[in-house]
Amino acid sequence: MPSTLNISLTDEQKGWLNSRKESGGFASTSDVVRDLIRTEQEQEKQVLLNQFRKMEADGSNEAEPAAEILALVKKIKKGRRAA
Amino acid sequence: MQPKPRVILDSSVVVSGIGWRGGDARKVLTLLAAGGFQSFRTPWLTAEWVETVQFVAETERRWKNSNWMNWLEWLKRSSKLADDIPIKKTVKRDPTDDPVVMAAVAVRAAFLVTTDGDLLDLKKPYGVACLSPREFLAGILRQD
Repeated sequence: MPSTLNISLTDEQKGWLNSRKESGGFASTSDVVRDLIRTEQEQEKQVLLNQFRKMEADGSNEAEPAAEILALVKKIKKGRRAA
Repeated sequence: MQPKPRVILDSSVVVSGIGWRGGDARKVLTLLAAGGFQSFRTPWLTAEWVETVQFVAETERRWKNSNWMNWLEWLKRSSKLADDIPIKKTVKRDPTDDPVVMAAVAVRAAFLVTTDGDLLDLKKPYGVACLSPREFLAGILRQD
């Protein structure tokens, strides 16, 4: 469900949004902002995928010691709850 | 297009996925990178991810990933941030697991992926399906 967010803009930024609305054929400045967010999200997705690909070879290729890992994780969880 | 399922990754999966590249936990992270599901986190869960990965990286002699800080940054950027909600007692066998269940409730997650038997035995607390990485991957692939 859409929610409303009030943001403060400079006159220059507001003017830019209005100009973008007109030139891009958007129905409202909200549509412009939503389009900017979508574009930024797509770019970020690609950046994160590229970063992941560079890191894919990191880590051990041995079988993971699952029980030992879980015991260590539980130890941290216990310490955090006690704090 | 149907939205991708909302998922909480327990610290056990995060540690395994970052530290060991051949297991199902790493496959879960690979699926996240490919946009196969939406990962969510809360401030509590984020701090727990960081503490557990750091602790295991520093204490487990079989840990081989010296790049773990970049992995954590990648995971944080890949996971949407939501607010924590008050913790209710849910996991009788191990109350230290309550915060991760509450994180799943807070973000209205469909799945909580974990290797922790105490969580897996809960099956579906508050409607959140607790699944092992293998069960989760099988379920997602079936959906696709």
